[in-house]
Amino acid sequence: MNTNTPLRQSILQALLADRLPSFSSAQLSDDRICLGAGGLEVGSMALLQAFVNLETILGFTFDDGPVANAKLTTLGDFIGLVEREVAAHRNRGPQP
Amino acid sequence: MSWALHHVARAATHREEAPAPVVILLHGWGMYHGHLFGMTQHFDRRLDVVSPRAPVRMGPGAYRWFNFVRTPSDGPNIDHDEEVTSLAELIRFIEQVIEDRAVPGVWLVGHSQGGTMALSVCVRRPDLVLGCANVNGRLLDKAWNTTQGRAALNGKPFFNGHGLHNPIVPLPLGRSTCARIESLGAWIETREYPIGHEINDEILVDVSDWLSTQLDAHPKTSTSRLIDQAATQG
Repeated sequence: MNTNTPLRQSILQALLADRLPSFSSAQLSDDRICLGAGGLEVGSMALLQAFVNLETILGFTFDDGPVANAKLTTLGDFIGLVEREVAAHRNRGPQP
Repeated sequence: MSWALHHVARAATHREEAPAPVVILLHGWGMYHGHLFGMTQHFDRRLDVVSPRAPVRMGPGAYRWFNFVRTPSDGPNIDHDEEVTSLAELIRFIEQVIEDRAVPGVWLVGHSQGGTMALSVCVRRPDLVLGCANVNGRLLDKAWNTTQGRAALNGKPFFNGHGLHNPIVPLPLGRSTCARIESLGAWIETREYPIGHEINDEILVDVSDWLSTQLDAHPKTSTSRLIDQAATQG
């Protein structure tokens, strides 16, 4: 798996912001690392802010349902959700 | 019609009367219109269910009626400007639902901040409300102060569920809310649960049963005004 795609870098930047340099490349390439306590230490409000940051970076808004109903435990869960939503947005084409 | 609030709706599947009574679900802070909507599939089939989304977007799947800052002893300190704006939009939305469905009023079910908004609607515009179920919300002091001394809720049925270990809206605020609503003339049923601030299936079953009881007790509530109007015009 390519763990250094531009999208992944954007996701990590949106998720960790100023704290990004404090994590090793091994940690940031491990999809199994926990988002919360004992892992990346990202709380629920910081996670929500990451989605908002990504909306600015990616240029579209996430739908409510997939984000609200997602079970986001690990970094891989978060990246997977964002990747699916990016793909869904592309498939829908430009919005009016 | 241009609705005041984005929403989802589920039509009654068991119609005893037309139009069907309407229940409006009001979600809490940081949730969205799909939250309570998805948890209320078991609600009485005689009800049209409408679930609006709070107007202030925090992010995808997360909206609020107003912002607040927690205080250790006095409960949340709220953003009054956001509350005023959201309440006006919610009242407009309820008016639109009543006009669109041709019902004389709606049933309100709210959790947390949604319960607080429901109670604000009840005391500001009791004419729009047939009854209300509040779970872990509270009556704001400013709403209470505008209605104090007026029996605005005469005979209206209320359900109040509150968590015994609620860290967001402490139990004393829940109990004082009940006392205030009752003092305004409401007929209130109270339950306290061994939970925190959340809403769960057990509470929603109680709310559902309470709603069904109200519909059984007042089967013509939603159409009585229309019948009266027809008789007058006829």
